[in-house]
Amino acid sequence: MSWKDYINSGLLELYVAGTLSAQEMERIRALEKEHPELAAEIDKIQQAAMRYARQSAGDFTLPELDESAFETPSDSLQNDPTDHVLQLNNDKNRRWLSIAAAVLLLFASGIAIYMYVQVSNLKRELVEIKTERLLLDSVLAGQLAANDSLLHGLNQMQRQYAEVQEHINSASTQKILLKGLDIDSAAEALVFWNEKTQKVYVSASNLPAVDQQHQYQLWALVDGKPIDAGVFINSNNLQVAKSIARADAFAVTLEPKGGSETPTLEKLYVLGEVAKGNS
Amino acid sequence: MLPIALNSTNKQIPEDQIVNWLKSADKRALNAIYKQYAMALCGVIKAVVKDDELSRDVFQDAMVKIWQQANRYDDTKGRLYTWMLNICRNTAIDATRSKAFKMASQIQTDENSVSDTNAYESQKPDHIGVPELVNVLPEDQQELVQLVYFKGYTQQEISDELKIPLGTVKTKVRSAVNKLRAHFKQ
Repeated sequence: MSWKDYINSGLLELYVAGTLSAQEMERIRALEKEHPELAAEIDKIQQAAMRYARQSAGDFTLPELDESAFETPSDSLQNDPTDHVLQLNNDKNRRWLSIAAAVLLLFASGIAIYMYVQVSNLKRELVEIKTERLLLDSVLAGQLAANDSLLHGLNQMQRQYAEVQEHINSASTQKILLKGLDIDSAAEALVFWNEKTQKVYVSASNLPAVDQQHQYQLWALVDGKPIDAGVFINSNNLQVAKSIARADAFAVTLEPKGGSETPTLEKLYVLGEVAKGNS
Repeated sequence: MLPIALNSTNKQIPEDQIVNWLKSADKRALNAIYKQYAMALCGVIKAVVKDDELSRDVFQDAMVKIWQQANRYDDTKGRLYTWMLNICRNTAIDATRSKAFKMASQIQTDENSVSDTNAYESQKPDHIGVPELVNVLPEDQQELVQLVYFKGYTQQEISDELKIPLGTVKTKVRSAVNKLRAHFKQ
């Protein structure tokens, strides 16, 4: 059975429900990853099933999730309340004192636990931020020589980061929303094009998954002619595309890996026109 | 590539991103699941347990399971939504089997409840109240969609329940879901 045969088989509907045999589930999962068209069809089935379920909930109020139930083991200390129970004295006067002391102790350990959690959260965040910066640096700044000082790397990274921010915020940058065409009406991509600097950034805000042999390619349309603006990965991260001097519109097609010289029009996923007369 | 996620412009966070977060115990996964899937999952839970308050409790329990058992999700065996759907459904079914639930539904349903010890199994799927959707699908297709997505029936179970030939189940499911898709497109 080829992947195309699955589309009308009724098996995809049961696949979304998860009620097929393990082999069938695995087979369809593998095919779905290989064929974006199949994945798109399954998406639509899933959307319909979800929408049906949502509507059947009626005017249901979602619960607020109890955050404490989602702590990871490192997030919280195991707090055994019996640790802090004091031996109470029979003498009534001393008894009150002991209770007061116990309350204070509980209170103090509460603060200690709270501080501990805060500090470990901060530590984790710091590691995350550091990782993110390293990634930013290595990808954006290119090959940072191994012996470069950390300061140098940091400066460079900040400069590039600022460049991107400036690009996005610049008055002469247009944000162009590329909307899905017939092939997948939910598809979406974003282009940030600065007419003055000619720089182009692209983000696949919602494009169907692609297999290893294909890549999305961005095109600028000038007087009806497509100009290659480079291939990009299917990620909602901002990516630098080729510089473009003039454009009436931007479009994205799915092409064999490495891109094509001319766009494959049957695989035209999204299109967005450039607003005129803003500069 | 820049690791700047433009979340404000994103309608949907892709499932594989949520899976990555989930597997690395990143709480952004919870927010995304809540935002994108909670209402659908609650619809399924509510269809099983019938009660709003209990549905909320079941959903909280199911979310904890999803969070704690994230490493059990196997990307090669199906989609994230399917996995979460199964967890929610099973948690809901477990809830209906609890003693308290049985007692409550016995009191609510009828006086001669002696023989009715399993409230869940005795309920026919057409008792699931879906008023807004009544006109979308004919009753038999409605029942079919609910057996598939709310109760997780296999082809064999559907064939037994609805007394239709096993070989026709897939086609019937396909055409019912197609009708739903056409309706939602309007």
